[in-house]
Amino acid sequence: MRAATACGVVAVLSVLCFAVLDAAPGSAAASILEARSGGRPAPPAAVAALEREMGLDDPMPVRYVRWAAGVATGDFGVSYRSGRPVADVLAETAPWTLLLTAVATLFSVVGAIAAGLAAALTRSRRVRRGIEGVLFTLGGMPGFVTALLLLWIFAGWLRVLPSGGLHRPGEALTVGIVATHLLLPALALAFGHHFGVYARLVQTGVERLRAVPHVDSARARGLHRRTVVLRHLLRPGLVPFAARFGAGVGTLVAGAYATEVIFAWPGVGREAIAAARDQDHALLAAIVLLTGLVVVLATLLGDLAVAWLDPRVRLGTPTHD
Amino acid sequence: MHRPVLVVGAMAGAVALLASACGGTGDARKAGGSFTYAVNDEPDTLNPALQDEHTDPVTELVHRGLTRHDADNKVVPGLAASWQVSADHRTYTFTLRNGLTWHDGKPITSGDVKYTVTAVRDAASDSPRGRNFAEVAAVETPNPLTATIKLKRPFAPLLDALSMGLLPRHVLDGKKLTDAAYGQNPVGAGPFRLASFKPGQFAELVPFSGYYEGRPKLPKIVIKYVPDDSARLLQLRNGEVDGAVVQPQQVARVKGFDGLRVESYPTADYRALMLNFANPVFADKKVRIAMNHAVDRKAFVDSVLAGQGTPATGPLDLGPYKTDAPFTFDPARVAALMGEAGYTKNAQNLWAKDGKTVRFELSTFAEDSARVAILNVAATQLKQQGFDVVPNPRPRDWVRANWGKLEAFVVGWGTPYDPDTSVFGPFHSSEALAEGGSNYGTYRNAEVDAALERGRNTADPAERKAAYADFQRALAADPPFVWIAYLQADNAVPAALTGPTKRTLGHHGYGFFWNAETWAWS
Repeated sequence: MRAATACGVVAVLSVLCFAVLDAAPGSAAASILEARSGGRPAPPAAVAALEREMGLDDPMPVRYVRWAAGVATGDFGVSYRSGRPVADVLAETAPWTLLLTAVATLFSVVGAIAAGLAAALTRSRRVRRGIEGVLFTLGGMPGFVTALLLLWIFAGWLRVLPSGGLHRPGEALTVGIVATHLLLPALALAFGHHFGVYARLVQTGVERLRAVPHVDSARARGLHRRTVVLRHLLRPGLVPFAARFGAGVGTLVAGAYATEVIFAWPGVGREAIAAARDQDHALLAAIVLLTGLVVVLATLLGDLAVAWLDPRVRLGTPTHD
Repeated sequence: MHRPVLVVGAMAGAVALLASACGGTGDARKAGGSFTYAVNDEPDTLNPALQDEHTDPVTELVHRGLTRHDADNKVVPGLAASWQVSADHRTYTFTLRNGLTWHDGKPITSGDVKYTVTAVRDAASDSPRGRNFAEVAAVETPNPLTATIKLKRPFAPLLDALSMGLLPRHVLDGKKLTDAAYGQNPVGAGPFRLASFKPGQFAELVPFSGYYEGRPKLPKIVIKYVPDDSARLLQLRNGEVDGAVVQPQQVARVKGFDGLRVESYPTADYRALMLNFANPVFADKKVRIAMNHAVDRKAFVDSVLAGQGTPATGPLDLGPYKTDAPFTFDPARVAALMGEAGYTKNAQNLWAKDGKTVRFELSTFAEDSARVAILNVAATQLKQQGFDVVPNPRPRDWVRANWGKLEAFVVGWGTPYDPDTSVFGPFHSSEALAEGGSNYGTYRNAEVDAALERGRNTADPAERKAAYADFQRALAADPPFVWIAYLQADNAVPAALTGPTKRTLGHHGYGFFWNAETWAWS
């Protein structure tokens, strides 16, 4: 059922992204010619000729059907800008974006749970205030500022981490080298995008449960504190966080794109931004579709996580919070 | 419960540990090994026939044409050892150097010359260089080392046009000129061979031992693509790259970095206000001359360009064809000219005639912050002198579709090579926008047209010099643009690198690597 809905969402998304890109002003052919001439405007006759050659003068529905038929068979067409098959570009870049977002998600989840739990359970007001202060600052800071700050501290000031790229030219592509290059962008992505909100959700989720009867009764039954925290506070307390996190993946992916540009990370994001600038609609449509697919999947996973964490959702019983 | 606090602490500790394990970069600048250079723009293709006069460093190093340019931008032999021009200037006979090979080891022959010239000529809109060879009637190849190019009529810029990298027929024959595989993995005849190209990351270039002037000295050149200006500066400071393109505002800081020097070269890339003659407010040439006296060019250079540029008063100021600059900042002259044109100051202190002010929208690409800065300063200065300017930057996409509707626009133009390549397109009436040319303001002046045609259709140096002097005189008397400034290109390199040599560079400062085959570590 959910899977069918997801398929429907993707189909609608494909029409939408194609139509929206098509409605954007300007001409892809003009962009290509302008790029080839080093930024000089292209003569209208040349633009018209290239549009004819690229089939861009066909009506939009014709082009959509042609494109969708290709996509259905795994053929995303050819990048206007480089002339390379879009599938090749994605195969080269998507794994790096996936690695970046996966590691950032791990940092974000572990960090948010640790910080949220610490703030909720500590008895020291000073510690709680401190954590809340940091979370407040992170929550209010735009992602790119976090990225530049990290870049400045670790690459500029301490000079302990490389400032960008996947590896240095000439350097072998080993796990260790990629890991050192991955650390800064992953931290920037993890702590620059809603991290404060996530940690606060964990904190309030847990705090809310501290005084509820079943936790009191668990304590009264003399259960070990660790059991109380893990089973009775943390697991149900994570529900608001999990629900929000699934929906936040879209922001995370968008954030990844900006982060990739700042850290020269060779992922989909750099391609997406270049494609948007140059009106490389073939490449951009594929990236938008792929991104949409990832967000739909992530939302689905978020729902499943909530169901796992909260038996009431799983069993379909009405919730009353 | 302090355990979660410990978790956070442990994570921070782990980060610090991992960070310190990665090791810092040394402060000492490199004095040997590969030379890594960071640029902002990444080309879409490394095929020289698909790039205009603005060749990126990789394309420049991988390819070589029949001719090339020296430090004065004069045409000198490249792959061709010599050439002869017939008395009627319509037949050019090139003799190739002996024993030339492509990077893949195949011999270079006159067949490659024929292929290159005819393929580019016939590529129509696929190649921005097509018009360079439009006058070519035929290319003959009497023997493998001789190529004869026959022209329909004399075309002096031909030698300049042949500085474009020669294309290998054996690789491209039967394919389209826009072939993506060739654009990503080109075979050339230049001093460096492309060892690897990772789009979005870097290109690695190694010396080509078959290069006709001998194997280049640098063991490797890496061109790294770092689009963000601040990130590039950081990598330069940390020694992650050895050299980099530097923005005008960054020059002062970079000069403070140890072990680096900044090579500042002039470029032929000027910024000017293009005026659209569809707007009747520009009909009177006195108004346009007055506007050229109303801008304080030195103020532009000092503010917007942070001193990294020179005032521009015409399109050929930086080449050997330059004539005396007629335009100075002169408010008294503005008032005199506007008075002669029948204008008087109105209540708002603006020039007006029959109740109409000299009102026009000044636009540029909203995405280009440097041009927007020029737009704002220009609008302010012109307004102070009584011109009713409405500043309005517009998105690039809108501009692309509406060139004809723009009233005035901050343009970037100019090449350092043959004057024809720099001025025929924007100023000859046959190149008007409606004709599909690059004369976007539809400027039309019979004297300018005649001088441009004379410059193009004669190969005699003295006659050309006279033709371009006449052109500049006619242009100054009836100016199509308000000239602002020439940009300067700044490149940081290690102090131990020898070889970079000053030359007037092209659009966006392209051409810095023009003699990289002679670069070496001291």
